Amino acid sequence: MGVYVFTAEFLYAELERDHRDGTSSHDFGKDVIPYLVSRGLAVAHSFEVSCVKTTPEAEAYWRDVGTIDSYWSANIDLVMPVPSLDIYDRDWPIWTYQQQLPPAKFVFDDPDRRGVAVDSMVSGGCIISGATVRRSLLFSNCRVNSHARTSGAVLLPDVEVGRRARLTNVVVDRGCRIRRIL
Amino acid sequence: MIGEDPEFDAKRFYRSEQGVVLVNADMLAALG
Repeated sequence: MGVYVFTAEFLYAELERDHRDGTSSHDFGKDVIPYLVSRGLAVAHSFEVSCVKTTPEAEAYWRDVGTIDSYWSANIDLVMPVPSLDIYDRDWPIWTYQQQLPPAKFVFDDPDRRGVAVDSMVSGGCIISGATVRRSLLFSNCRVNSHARTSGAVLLPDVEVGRRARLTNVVVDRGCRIRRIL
Repeated sequence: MIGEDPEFDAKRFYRSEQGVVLVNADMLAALG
């Protein structure tokens, strides 16, 4: 695994060559890259050398998120008190597009209907309305309604969790509406 | 409830080897 940089012309030519190769399984990591390496057409840079670390002693941070388990783990790791990747490091800001959204809001403070989030990351535009969010990561514009509970939940943008729903160790795709009873 | 009953989850959604449940719009639509 890694980050690969090509010129477009070279990459297109190699993909076409691999496409014509009847012995290839047409897998980028198994066929295309090894072919280039075997012919001295690839140059490597050690990730360890330039990786941004939380502390000098920390291991280089890299996560392959090609499976549901690894994707979930990489997200949930961010809500740990001291995650492997410090996205709050002002020396290494994340330059990406961010929609202009109102702050996350937590409403209702009744004993049996309290909007709270603990050990969690809640993005802009979210509303936690009388629900309990634990050890979860909420992308933008999510809504978690009264008496619902989430634990170990990764909610992609625009997810709505209905009243009294309970979600444990889940990844919910963008825009899904989880009703109370499923 | 999602993520509390492995067999029920596997019938309705995708459940990984480590027990993480993936829910997407198509799966929810199939529930009617």
